[in-house]
Amino acid sequence: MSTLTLTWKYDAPPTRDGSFIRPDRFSRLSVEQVKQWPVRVGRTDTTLDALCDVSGEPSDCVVLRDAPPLDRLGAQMTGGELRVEGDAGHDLGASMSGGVIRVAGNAGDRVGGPDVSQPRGMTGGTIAIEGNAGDHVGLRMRRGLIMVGGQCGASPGYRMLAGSLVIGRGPVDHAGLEMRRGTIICLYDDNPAVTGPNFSEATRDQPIAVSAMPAVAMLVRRAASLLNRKASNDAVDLSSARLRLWHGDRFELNRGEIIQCLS
Amino acid sequence: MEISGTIIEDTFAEAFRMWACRLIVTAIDEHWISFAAQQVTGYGTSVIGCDAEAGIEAALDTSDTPDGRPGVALMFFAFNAKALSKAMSNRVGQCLMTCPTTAVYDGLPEFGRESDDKNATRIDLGKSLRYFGDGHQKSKLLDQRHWRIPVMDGEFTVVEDIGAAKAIGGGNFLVCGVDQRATLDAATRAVDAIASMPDVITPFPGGVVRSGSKVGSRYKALFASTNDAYCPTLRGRVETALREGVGCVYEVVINGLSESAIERATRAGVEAACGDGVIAISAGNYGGTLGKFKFNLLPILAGSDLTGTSHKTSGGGA
Repeated sequence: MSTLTLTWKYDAPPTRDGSFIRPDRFSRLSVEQVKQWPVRVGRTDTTLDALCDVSGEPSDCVVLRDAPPLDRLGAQMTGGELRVEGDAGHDLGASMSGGVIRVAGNAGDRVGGPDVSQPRGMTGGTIAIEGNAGDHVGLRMRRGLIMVGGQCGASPGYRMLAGSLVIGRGPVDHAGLEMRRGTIICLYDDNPAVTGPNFSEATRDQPIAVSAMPAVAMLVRRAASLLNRKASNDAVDLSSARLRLWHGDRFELNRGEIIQCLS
Repeated sequence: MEISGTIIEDTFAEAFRMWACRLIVTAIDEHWISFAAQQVTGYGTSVIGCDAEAGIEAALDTSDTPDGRPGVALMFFAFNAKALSKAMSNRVGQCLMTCPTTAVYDGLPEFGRESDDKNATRIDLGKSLRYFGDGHQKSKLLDQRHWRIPVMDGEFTVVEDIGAAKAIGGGNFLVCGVDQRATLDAATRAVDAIASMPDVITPFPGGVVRSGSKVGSRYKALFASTNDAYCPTLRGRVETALREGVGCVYEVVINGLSESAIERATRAGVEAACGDGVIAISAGNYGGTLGKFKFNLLPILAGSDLTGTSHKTSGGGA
């Protein structure tokens, strides 16, 4: 598959905002048009080739190399694939509605959260982060899948409306606080620090087999495939794993769920 | 033409336009997959008397299923998409939702996505079954929307809708042998050969039909009746189509997603059936007036590696 590679220039003007990198829009342009793509840096109007070396063919897949951890990467993206070969900043995939974002390193706060002036977080698509993520992952997300291979910061799934969030390593601090619907899956054995009385455990006495919830197995397998891992190589072996299940947040709609896979 | 000493008659199978869908069903182990598959494809031989024609297409490994459990691919055929939709809701609701540990996924996910596609459509499945959850059902959108209905052993996961496409039903060939045992063995070999082929099923019991039918009856209420020309016990009473020495005939009926799939299956089945105790291979048709599709045996089998090989008689001739 052809890709469009953007290699960050070491002498590029300093900017934090990466929202101009849009695989869904670049795929319809020529290389020259991509190079002339307008970018605003501070109060200055410039073009994309002032920041990046552009190589390859415009396609649905854009690779970003050597860039600083830019904020708002993939914001309001509607399709295509963005591969970040490094770290991402805050608001990764903010209010995106489709496509795939893969981050080889870590990501900042509010992954999949609402973009500027937007009421909701991501409404579709997939975000896969190999490393760790910051606070409030999945803030007000409405739909889609976020996979964090490492740890999350405070309150992953905070005010989540729906969608799926898979967390590779713990511990998790106040997961699902004020969530309405949606699923948070924790792929590690230690307690997921469920937030007190606003979550009730359905499996209080006896964890249940993964086979009793095939949709969970499907989600974990999908998340693992996004990170190019086999599910059985993660913290959990799906063939023998058991699940703990919490419902909440009972001060909200109480239709969200936190699921922990026990190996 | 002869294959392994068996005569291939210059005739054709007549087949009909149908609509088909494919389900991927998973369960905790092969034991429960077997029960689920048998139940949901049960009473699914011919749309003359059943709501759908159904069969097992293939067993699936854990790596081939969405949830990583062992599974099976099933195919269902009906005369139109509406009839197929009704049959699927009933069958999945009664046979799969009730079966322990099963989950149901779409086997034709790419079909029917275009609104102006006249060759395929989407039919509801979980969209209507979800109400069994009495408000506790949840959905999960992963490429397709899947409904999670709470049941007493956990959750029944079922895809919201499934793809249905125009397909073909009624591809067939007749195995004409010297006696019942030899003919049944040959038909079984044919069905075994077809079982490994994609996009086709053999919907009858064990894949074999003994009650081949002709159109019409002397009784007004029936629009199909026994194919007397192929009944060995009626030889001498009616005009027979049986060759000298034929003491038994079995029909192998093939439904498939495409003409090419049925042609491949026909070739594999006939090649496997030919041999000792099988005098001829024929095909069932109605003179070409009813079915839209015709599968001529000779072109399908042209170039067979087995063509012209000699017949080793079993000595069990009639």
